[in-house]
Amino acid sequence: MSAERSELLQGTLDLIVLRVLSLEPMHGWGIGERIALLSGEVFEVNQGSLYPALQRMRRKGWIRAEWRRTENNRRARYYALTEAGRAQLTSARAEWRRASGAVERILDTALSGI
Amino acid sequence: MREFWTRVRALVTLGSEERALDEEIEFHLEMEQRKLEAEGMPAKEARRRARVRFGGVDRMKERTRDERGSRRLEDLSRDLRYAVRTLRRAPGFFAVAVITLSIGIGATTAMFTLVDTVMLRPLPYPESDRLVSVWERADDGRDLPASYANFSDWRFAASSFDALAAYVPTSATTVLTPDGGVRASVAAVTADFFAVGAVEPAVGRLIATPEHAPDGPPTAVVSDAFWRGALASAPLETLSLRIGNTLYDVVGVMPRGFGLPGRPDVWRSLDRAVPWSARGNNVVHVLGRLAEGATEGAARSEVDALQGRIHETYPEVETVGASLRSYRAEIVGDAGKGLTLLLSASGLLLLIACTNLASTLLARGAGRARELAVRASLGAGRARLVRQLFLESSVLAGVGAVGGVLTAQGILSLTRWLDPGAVPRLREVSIEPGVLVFVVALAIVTAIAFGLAPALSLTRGDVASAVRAGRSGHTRAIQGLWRAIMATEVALAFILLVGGGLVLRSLDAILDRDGGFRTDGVVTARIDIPTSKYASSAEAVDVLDRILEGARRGPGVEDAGVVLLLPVPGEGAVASPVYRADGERSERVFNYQVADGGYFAAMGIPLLAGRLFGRADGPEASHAAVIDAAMADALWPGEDPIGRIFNPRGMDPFPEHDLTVVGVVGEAVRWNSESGANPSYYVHYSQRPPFFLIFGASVVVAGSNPSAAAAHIRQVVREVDSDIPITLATLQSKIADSASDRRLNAFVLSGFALAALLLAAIGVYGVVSYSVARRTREMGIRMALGASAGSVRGTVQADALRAVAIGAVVGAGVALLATRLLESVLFDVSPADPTSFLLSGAVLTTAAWLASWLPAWRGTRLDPASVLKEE
Repeated sequence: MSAERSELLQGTLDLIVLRVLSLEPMHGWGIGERIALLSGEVFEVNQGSLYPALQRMRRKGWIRAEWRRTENNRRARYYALTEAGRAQLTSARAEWRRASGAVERILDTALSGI
Repeated sequence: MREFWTRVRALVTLGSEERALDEEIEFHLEMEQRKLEAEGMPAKEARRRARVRFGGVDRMKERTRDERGSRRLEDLSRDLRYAVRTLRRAPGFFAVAVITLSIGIGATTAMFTLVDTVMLRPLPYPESDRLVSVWERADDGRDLPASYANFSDWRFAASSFDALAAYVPTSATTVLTPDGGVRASVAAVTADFFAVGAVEPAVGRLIATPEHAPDGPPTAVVSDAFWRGALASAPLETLSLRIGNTLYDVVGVMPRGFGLPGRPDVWRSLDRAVPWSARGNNVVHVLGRLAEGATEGAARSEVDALQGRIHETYPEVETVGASLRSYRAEIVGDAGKGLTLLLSASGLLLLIACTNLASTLLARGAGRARELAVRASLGAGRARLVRQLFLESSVLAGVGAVGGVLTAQGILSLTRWLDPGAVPRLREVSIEPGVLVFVVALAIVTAIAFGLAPALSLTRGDVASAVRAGRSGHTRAIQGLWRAIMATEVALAFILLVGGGLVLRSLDAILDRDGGFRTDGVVTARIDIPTSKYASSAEAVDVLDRILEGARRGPGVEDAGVVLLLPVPGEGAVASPVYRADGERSERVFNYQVADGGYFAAMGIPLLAGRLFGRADGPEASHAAVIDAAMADALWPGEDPIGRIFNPRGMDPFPEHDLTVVGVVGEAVRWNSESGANPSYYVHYSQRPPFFLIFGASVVVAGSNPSAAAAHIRQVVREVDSDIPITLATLQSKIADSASDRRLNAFVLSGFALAALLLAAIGVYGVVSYSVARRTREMGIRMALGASAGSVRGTVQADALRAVAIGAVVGAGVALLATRLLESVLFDVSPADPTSFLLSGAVLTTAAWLASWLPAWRGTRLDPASVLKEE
């Protein structure tokens, strides 16, 4: 039961990270900040989940990491989308739409049935 | 597959990935802090908040590692490094465990290897299981060498053999090479001998059949080592050796590794050594190769029946049948007995080593209960802890195994170095991989089984209580187990100590044994008179006379004489029954000796009645005999033997000359075995010379200055005839050499006993150390309350010494039974020898007391106040 829930959350986090990285390569802290910003501060990404997620996506070959200088000349590890990552983003996004649409429909039906 | 490589790469880049993660986290915290500072927060507070928001760094690292996918391998390598570090932090424990393992594995591997090579592996000859030895069997069941005539009949008539050969066993003989005389072991063999071995020569050819006919040309074949060494690889065409009085043409070189029988340097054609061939003259050994498809049983009944018929046909043949057995059993023989003994000893040692290892690991495990409990409560899984201990034990066993291999090599080299030739086939020995694997596996299983015990017992119980109880929490069951282990170890060590003691005392008894003659200040010079240079026996005898005369004039020489065979082991003996004047054959056999009057004086053999040989006993006089008291008792009990007549028919080529007893002397025989020696009679060298001409003789000189006497004899012999080879030795060194196989056994066994003692002491030390560590607080309190250090030590030691005492008593009991198995290798010492038992007990108890006193003493040296504060 709990395993399934984390799976869902994990999938969601992956999708969001992929989306953020599709804009431009970004370091870990920046990804967190960007997510918060883009979600209108609705999501605050748990750091304890972000780095393991980045590690996992690297292993799957969706993103790659490289060391670069930030604008204030600080060494940081930047993550960038790979081709596989881009494809994953597309398919995951479609999947998400389909799933969330389905969930919407169920919720609507259920509500109107009360 | 790709996944796999990613994992491997991740593992390889493990260190850098960990550093990258650290840097990434640091960067993250820095950015967060900077953001908070920009919002107006003070730097210190911003840093703190950044950390709080980030959450548990270690937890997050763990999860990231999980995602990396190299988790398992990574843990393994980390645990391995951890294990090594842990062991390095406990050097005492590590040393004890590794030494224990090395000794146990090393000794056992070496001994198993020896036994395997010597006893179990086939001989290095083609189809060596077909090699058999054949003996004549007397009516009392004893096996005797064969007579050449009987052997010839077997060879002619028996169909069970592809080849049947006779030989006179290897003896150390002086051989004259073109470069001078050297001492070499020479076997005399018939031509079929090499067919029995089924071996071709490496160079040249073998002794051919006509060459062992009585009038054939004397021929010899040499070993590879002898040819390369003493003969400097000289070309065979022109090479000849003088052995005794015969010149042998060297026709071939045997390949390396061919060592039948008993690794000779030279094989010479046999018939030169058997000039008389009476049926009752049992001098040759017989070796055969069974025919294809012939069984030992069938061959045995065939020769047995043949010998039975020979016995019926020739009345002088005393033996009633023939025995046949596998040659391997034959050569292993006595050495096998010694090796079995050493093997049992090494088995015991291995047992002690495993026991010791077990108790050491248990003690350490107990000491670590708290550490493990803490780690368990911090979230380390049971599997993880078990794996941790498993790895530690494996590292330990691995290092111990390496130490064991080195120890085994050391023991084997030492044995090879010590070996006087008593252990057959020793030169072939190399560590047997199968044996090594077995022993190492046993050690590893022990290490792991007992190394894991603490983890298993921990996880079975309640972690929290283990943490609370910490060092003092120990079940009675485990303490009981220790006491049992300690007692077992002491008992096993006791058995080995007693065994070592008994064998050492046997060696001592042999070396100190009174053979009925003096040994100090006696120099022996083995000479071979090359009689072929002299036209008659008389001339050869004259040469000997001149040598003896010269020897008597030497510095400090009191007496000088000559004898055929010295009465020490290794010289051999010739024995046969004799016939009294009434023609009746004696029950017993008697040693045939050739000597002069000076021999008895030089050896300090007392004259009991009549006279010794003197000037009267020339070649023309009636043949005289000096007999020893035992022979006088056996032949003429209660009567005066002087003037009596007997005849050693067939023993020498003078059956027509009866011997008249002119004197009775004390017995002078010294043998290794307890089987007892035959009584002896002596004939005069000038009256019955041929034995000297065949076997050579030993000139014996007694005096106050042995080394000067030795140099003098060498000079005399050179002056008389520089072609006479001479080998000098003191009588004492000859006796010491003759006991060298026993010395080997005694040395190795006492080495084992010492190792066992050491292991037992280490075991006691370890357990008491642990017990002291556990009771430091109690000891501190008692000392703070005014107890003396001595009484506190006493309490700690008492526990251990009780176990030791139980072990010693049990060990003594078992040893009393076990040493009976030693009886056959003991000499003049009872298997229940009180001295050995008491001494072993004393040594063991003292060692155990010291081993328990040391940690107790260290415990009482601690300041009570600081001990009490510590907990």
